[in-house]
Amino acid sequence: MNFSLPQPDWELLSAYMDHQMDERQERAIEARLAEEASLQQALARLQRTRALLRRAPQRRAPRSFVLHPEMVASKRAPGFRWPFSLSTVSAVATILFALVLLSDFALYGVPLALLRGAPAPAAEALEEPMALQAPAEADAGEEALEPPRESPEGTPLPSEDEELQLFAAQEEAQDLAEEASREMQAEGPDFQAILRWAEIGLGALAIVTGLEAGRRKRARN
Amino acid sequence: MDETKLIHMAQGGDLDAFNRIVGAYQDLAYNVAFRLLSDPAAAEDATQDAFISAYRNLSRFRGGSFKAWLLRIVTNGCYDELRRQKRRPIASLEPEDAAGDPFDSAVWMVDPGESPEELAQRVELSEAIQRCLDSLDEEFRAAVVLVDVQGLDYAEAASALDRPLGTLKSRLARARGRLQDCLQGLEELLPIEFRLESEGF
Repeated sequence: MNFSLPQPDWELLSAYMDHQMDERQERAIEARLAEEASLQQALARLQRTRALLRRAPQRRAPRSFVLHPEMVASKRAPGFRWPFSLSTVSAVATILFALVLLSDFALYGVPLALLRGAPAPAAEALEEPMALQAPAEADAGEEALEPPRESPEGTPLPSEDEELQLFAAQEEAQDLAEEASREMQAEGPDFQAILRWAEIGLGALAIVTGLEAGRRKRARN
Repeated sequence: MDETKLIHMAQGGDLDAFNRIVGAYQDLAYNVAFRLLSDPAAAEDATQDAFISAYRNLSRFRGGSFKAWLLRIVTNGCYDELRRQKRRPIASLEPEDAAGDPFDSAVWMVDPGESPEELAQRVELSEAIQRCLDSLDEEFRAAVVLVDVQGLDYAEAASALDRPLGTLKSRLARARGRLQDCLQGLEELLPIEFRLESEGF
């Protein structure tokens, strides 16, 4: 604007010209117009500019823009709409992902998705009895060479028969554990694997839907 | 048939009903796109894309001014096109078509019954206005195109631009002020009556 008039005055004049003011504002600007010649000039210029713009020739559409079925066939019918928006799906996936992650930390101390080589539960179950068995065998070998021992308090330790019974009971327990793990493998759900895949899936879903929702929002704006 | 009923039918998948709406708004949509893009071919594409997008997203229309809703799609499409053009400026900046003729050719002018003098005057006026519109930032341009060139009221224009009423008022005032300066510089292109009046410009 090549003559001095503060921007707020331009806005007032523009709104006054379009009757976009309340009565009190109108009276105030009219009082100023009666006093200030520069304001009158500015209003006259604005009115001419608006009149010129209103005379801008209108064009006829160069062709018909009616839609043909093939133009809109690739997308779903306009009446259909998913019950949830993409951003809602993203938010829910993020919350579920956080819950699964927290349960991982609570149960295992580390996110399962990070344990690439984590053994399956069945394999662990099979390895466990072996690990328990090995020290037991080593203990038995050592005992054969050593005399009967006493506890530091002088309480006699279990006799050989009692130890054999204890060992038999341990073996029985290991057999039961093995059987249970086999049953779990055959019938029951692989809890760790489910948790691990849920974690990976929910994390990926949260990221993908979040990015897509952002892209669509930017496109709309 | 009234617009609300046609919209309702179109929301149910009735393409013929939607095409009746297209017929009612295509001139307006095309003119807005042309004034924003300043390129007839790009305006044609933007208008077609806007109608396709409007049909596909018709379930999102929840009442109110359909004109404002449609023009929001048109202006958003034009903003996207302007950004694309800024990233990849491939077209000539001169206001002419592929044959080298001025793009404001008389072919698309509305009133075929006017005299050659009147036609020439209108072409000059249209060119002068378009040059000055092109000098504005896109959001200022959109405000003045919707309100002053297309005659929308403030509420409809604010809704079409997805901006508060106060923002529209402020942008419109600034745009008018800048256009006034620009048109003063193109006095030779203005109709005679405006040249005589332009002493005040």
